[in-house]
Amino acid sequence: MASVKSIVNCLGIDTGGTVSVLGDLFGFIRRRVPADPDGTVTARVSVLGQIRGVQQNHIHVNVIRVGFDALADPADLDDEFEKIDYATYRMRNIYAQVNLGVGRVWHYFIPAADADGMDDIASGDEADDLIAKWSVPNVGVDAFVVRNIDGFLGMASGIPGSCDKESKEDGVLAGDIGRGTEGFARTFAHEIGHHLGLEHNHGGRPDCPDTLNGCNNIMAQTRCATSCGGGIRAASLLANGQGSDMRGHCAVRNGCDV
Amino acid sequence: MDKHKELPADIHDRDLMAVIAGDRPEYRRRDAMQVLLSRGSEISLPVLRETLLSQDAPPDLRSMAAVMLGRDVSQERVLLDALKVPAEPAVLRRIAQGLGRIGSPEALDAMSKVRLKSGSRASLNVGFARSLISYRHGLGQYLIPRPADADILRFDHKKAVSLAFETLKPAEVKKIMPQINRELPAIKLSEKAAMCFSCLNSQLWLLLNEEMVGKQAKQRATESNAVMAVVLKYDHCPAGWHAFEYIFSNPNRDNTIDIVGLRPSGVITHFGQVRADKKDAVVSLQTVNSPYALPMAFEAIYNTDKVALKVTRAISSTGAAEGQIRPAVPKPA
Repeated sequence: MASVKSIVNCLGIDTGGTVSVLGDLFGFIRRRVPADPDGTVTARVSVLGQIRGVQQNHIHVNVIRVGFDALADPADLDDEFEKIDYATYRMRNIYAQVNLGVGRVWHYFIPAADADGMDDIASGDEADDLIAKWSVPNVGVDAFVVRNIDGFLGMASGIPGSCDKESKEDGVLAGDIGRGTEGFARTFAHEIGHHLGLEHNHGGRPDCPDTLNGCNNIMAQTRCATSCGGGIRAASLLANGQGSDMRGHCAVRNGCDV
Repeated sequence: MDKHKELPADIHDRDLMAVIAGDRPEYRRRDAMQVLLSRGSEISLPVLRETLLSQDAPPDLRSMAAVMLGRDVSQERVLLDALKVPAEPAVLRRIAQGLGRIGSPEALDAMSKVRLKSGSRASLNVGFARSLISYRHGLGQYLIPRPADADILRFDHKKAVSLAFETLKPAEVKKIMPQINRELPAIKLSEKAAMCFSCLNSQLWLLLNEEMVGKQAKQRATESNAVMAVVLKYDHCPAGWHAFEYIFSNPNRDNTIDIVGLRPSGVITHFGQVRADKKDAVVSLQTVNSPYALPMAFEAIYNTDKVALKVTRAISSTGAAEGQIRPAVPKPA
């Protein structure tokens, strides 16, 4: 079996200093496994599972927090970080259904002063501006998490998104941190699904899929997940065809051969 | 850890309104307002008005109310009244944006009292809102100046790709007109001479202002400033159209018209000219330096009699031009 160090090296993480399995290998900001919002369930991660995940096709993600220093109650920051860690955890489990790993998850921030109002998004054009103005120059998918979004849940700038980090479609507005943990995590995985080339699996409002599995697909809109599906938590399925489409995206890396 | 779960899908509008108006925590009231707004329910108007006009309401809620009221031309008075109530800059910005979208000339005076940090995005937004009102009504105030020549992006045309423009049938445009009218309630766009094109993986439609179509078009374009056209972008998620760029026109004395493309934030992204003769107008447009638009060169002929736009050249760089403002890099955490 590959060593954790060789896998972490393969992900491009500097192993010269102390390496945290939960921080570096799993990408958790708090370097702890996040709690499952369903108090009756214990979230678990598997080192072996993560190694296998990056030995197959995988993506890297840059989580970019925008304006968190302007949150109404900064004491909630640890909760918000846990919410992001849970989104990472959920996305990894959701994408694992179609043999797509989530490798390196690096964290970035834009202070409210630098964000200059872009931490509060009220329209599609403002989301476009945020994604165009900021970019992390690496191979990861840029996933912006803002302080507040009015009127919608998240946005993909292009379907599929671009891998040219100077293009205007190289990221997603992955959600606003004020939402409930499960809904935020679902939107996070849903928007990155768009970036990787997936469309909704139904027509526009008021349409929803006509099967339970369809309503429970991660690419069904949230309103469908709650109206004809089993709820936000259950609506996290991916079909094999969707997996093929995702794995064909330019952001997807080959498996680590270690 | 989870402070709140999603609200149930079948929660009744009346219950949502009770939550918003009550003394529940801000996040819960905000969630309730989000759900109510996503339903587009008219029942929400009184709650939105009350929230916006209340100095005690949380700023995020007031902002949300301003955004929604600013999409309804019948709510201008409420937005004007809201400018008299002390508010955070973030709320003032949303009120001003709403007035830009729906406001009458009366709003310009009221907005002149809005003071925001100079150079900030909020002040840019408010400035744009004033210009938008002025251009919509042809008032000749708050004009967008011609960008400096040095800010026009030059790029290697040999490495450019063609942008394919296609003429849209009026029936196709008509189909989405209800959505467009919700997005741009105070600008009447024409179903004629509309074009669609793709940029990267985005679907964009260029629609002319109704004022630029027909016999009055030349007079309107050459005698006063106007919103000449709007570029709309289709979003898959959330599904729908949003205004992506406004094309403003500034007539010159030499029978030419300067045209300036602005993002709804107020950032200038394109600049060009229209040269008019008897029947045809020759349009040219280039990208202005910003991180928001790829370098492009566009030329077209607009036949005013036939109301037909024919694109003669449209090319775009596949990447940033030399000297173009690059995206900023977030700080590593």
